[in-house]
Amino acid sequence: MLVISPKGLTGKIELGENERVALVGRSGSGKTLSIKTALCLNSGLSMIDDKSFCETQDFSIVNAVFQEPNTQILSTSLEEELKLISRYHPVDLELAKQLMGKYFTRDFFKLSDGYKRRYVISSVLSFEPKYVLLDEPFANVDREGTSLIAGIIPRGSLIAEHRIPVIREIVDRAYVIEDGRIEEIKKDKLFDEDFLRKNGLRGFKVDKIDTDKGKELLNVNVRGINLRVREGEIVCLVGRNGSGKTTLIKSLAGKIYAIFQNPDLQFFYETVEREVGDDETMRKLGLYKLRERSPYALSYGEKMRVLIASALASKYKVVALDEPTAGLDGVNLISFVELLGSVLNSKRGVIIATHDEEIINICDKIINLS
Amino acid sequence: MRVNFVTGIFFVSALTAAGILTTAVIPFLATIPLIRRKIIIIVEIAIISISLLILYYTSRFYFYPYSFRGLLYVNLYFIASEYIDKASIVDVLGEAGVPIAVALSYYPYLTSIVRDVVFYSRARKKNVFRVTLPIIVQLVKSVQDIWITYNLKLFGNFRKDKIKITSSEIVLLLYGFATLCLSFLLKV
Repeated sequence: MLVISPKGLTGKIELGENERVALVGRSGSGKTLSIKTALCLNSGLSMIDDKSFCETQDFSIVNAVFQEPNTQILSTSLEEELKLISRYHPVDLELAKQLMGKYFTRDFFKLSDGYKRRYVISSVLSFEPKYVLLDEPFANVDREGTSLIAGIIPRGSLIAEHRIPVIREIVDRAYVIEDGRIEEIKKDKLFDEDFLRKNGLRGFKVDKIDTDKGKELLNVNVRGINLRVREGEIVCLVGRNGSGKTTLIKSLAGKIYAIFQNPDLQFFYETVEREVGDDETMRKLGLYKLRERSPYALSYGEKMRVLIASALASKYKVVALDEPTAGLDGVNLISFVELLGSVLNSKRGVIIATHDEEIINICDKIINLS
Repeated sequence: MRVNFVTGIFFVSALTAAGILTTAVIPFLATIPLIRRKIIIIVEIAIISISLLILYYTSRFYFYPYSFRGLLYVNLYFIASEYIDKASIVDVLGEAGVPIAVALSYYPYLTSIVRDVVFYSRARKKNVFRVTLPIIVQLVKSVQDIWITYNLKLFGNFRKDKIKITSSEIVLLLYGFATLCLSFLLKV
């Protein structure tokens, strides 16, 4: 049994060898902190069968996979990576081949998002740790990628995740972190919409935004698609990872204001004030008190707010958002939808590229690229 | 095609020597068929063309070997990254080779960061010099993540494996030797 008690949180997480356990909570509640504590990368207690894990730090017993696959590789293909790892400790090449199939030798950077995650998980599973801790393994992955990943999560896994509808199907038990307290909850609670809303978790569909539609702002033919956006309208581009949603938005650069997936790559100034460049917009979006802060130091929800504020401060009439809800918890999701209301009320139109089924309700028009 | 680190070093050394001792045109051209990403080739042809034009119109055409030499070294990094078997680096250099093996794996990621940031800055009409801030922030974050990955995956006692020689090694060595000879024979 692995027992984790992170410093700064009350309560503990227990993980048995033969179970899959969910760890849920709002953004910044301490999910990643708990995983790092288990690995002794953070203060707190990590015990295995009543012995401190930090004394041995034997990563063949406890290991982890974090959210961003791009920075969790040691070579360009899983085959090569395992050859490198095998110089340090035994790896089961056959298991990794089974998990990755024909993509075992494929260049990592040519894999789909689902297979990139599968690569990093397979890499860790190939040395068969007793306990695997997974930090948001399903973030920003389409339905196909989700089933690819869900299919290889072994017993002895702790899964920290925002996408409740995906994990509630595969876990045996669950913990929620709320107000600095870790609490075990019944799995049924993950199906209870009221509970999810009350705890700021995802897993419910958001309500439609009621706005008047005005004149046409954009009418273009791009990649064989006629894309028309009116004032107060939300047009959604849906389709699997790699179906061309991002490419379509990129091809509209210059005609629209586009906000892409990694906010950190889209900040060019040291403070929020310089990034947004307009006091009134900052006040309207509740960013004025953060104006002296670095945009890089904000939470994911706040970063999205800064990017949307920059869009509102610009002259562009159509704002496009590429997978904007990927890292948002329930509270931030509701706040994001309210923010979209402000964008629509300023006589603008919105394009959203997404495969998040929880926000499909807000779309006025859906274009499927698959 | 994958070659071991020793072969890779011989090949890179042969072309580097050819680049230093000659005008670097032949070794640069010899690297082109080995580059798999078309976009790199297109960008390099553009760079070479522009630099030759500038040198010609500023009456400093005799500087042209420096343009070819610079791009030759960039290409040798790409080739080393693409063709060298990363595990063989640690077999030759021991644990000291791990950072080199890992660094060679990350060039596609680094180029994608730079490409994305430049695109976003142009889309928002930002000053091009502003791109350094997000690139540096992202690199620092990435290095932290890679350090954790390195610790989580490479635990235990290190042991070397024997270097294997395959037909690919012979082909690449012959290609490097032929390029070196041609660079001296054809005085371009």
